[in-house]
Amino acid sequence: MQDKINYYIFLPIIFFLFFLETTFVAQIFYGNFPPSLVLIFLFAAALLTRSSDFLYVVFVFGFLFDIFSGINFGIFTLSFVLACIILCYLKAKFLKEESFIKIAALAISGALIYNLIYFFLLIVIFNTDASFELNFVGKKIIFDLVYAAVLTYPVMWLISKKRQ
Amino acid sequence: MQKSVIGFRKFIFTLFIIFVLLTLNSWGYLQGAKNAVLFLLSPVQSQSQSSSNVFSNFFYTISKIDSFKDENEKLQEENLSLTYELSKSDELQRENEILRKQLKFEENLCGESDCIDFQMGRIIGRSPDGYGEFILIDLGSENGVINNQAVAITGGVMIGKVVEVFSDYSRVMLVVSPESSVNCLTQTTRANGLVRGKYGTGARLEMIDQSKELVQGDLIITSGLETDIPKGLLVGKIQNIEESPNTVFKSAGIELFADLGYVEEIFLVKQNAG
Repeated sequence: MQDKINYYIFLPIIFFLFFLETTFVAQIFYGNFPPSLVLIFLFAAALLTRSSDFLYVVFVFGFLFDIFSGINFGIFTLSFVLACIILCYLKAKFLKEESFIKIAALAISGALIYNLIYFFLLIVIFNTDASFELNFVGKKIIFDLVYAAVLTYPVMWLISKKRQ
Repeated sequence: MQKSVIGFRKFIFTLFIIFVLLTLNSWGYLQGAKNAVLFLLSPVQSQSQSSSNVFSNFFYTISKIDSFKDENEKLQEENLSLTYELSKSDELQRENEILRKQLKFEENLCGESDCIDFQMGRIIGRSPDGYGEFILIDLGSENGVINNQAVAITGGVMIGKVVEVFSDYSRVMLVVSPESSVNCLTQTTRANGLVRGKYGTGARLEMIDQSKELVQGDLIITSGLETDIPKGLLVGKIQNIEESPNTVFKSAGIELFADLGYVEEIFLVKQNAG
């Protein structure tokens, strides 16, 4: 398995997904739970490549999400980076050899890790005064897991094809 | 397989950068950087938003095609009723003018609509978090935008207020955000309360005095008690009333007039001194 990915190919793809997520996806899925395309792509890429390099990409896109979102500044950057670090730790700990299914399972669990960190930061650290409805949080996590389960495999296939 | 453990130094360095960014943001030093990023991304972002509008309009039309006939009939009925109301209103206005003259009232009180200026802007992006709480618009401090200014759509329907102003862009918190609260009143019974958003893109009218009456279908308008939000902007109508003798306040579910997912152009509402 080669380590590096071609950033000239992947950065435009992530930017495209970012624009898609902040316009089309946000509009079409308004009032529902939209898929986090950028997040799924970033986690899959982080698992398939040397994530120590990819951490900076994750950081930059977390920062962009923070700029576009009006929620407490820094929450996306922190959640993205922390979730990515935990994922990479789990990968190093449990994946001794390359297994596409195991990596996909890890990427899907990344969605859960991200959501747990996100809501923990939002409620405990940023002390959001908005009253959370547990029903809403639960639904959001389930939807994210379903999207991750559906989209991770094609994303990983694409990344594997485009790796250097 | 390459093990990809992130080095401790890299981890600490990244956390340090995040901490620095958070500190700079809390001191307000990141506004320039945010504006620069938005400026760099806005050409593609605007284009992407325009394409998105075309697609979503198409999907919207498809999804609503069934209800067009019924809606058309309903609108025709409503049109007739409004024509009647308008003629009645003209009569009342004329009568009002005559009475004012008789009482020698000075014309120093401008009507609500005369005191309001609208400045048109466009949505260039939506919050990526999926809760539909914020939008970014292409008007900023250089266009005279200030914090807490009301944002409306055609028909004087309020959709939110400005919460962050950059030099060329502004962030608008929509009324469906749980952190948003707008002082409003019901048009018929004059019950005052706060319109608050709730997760899942709905809103509620809360903190209504138990002694006030609520009527289903009653219009909810802005009360004008907030400095930069003029009185009389439409917000929605009462959908369901929630009252209990055990609670201090009454509340009501609201049907919002704006379909926030399909809004393209917005108007910044500026209240003149009159």
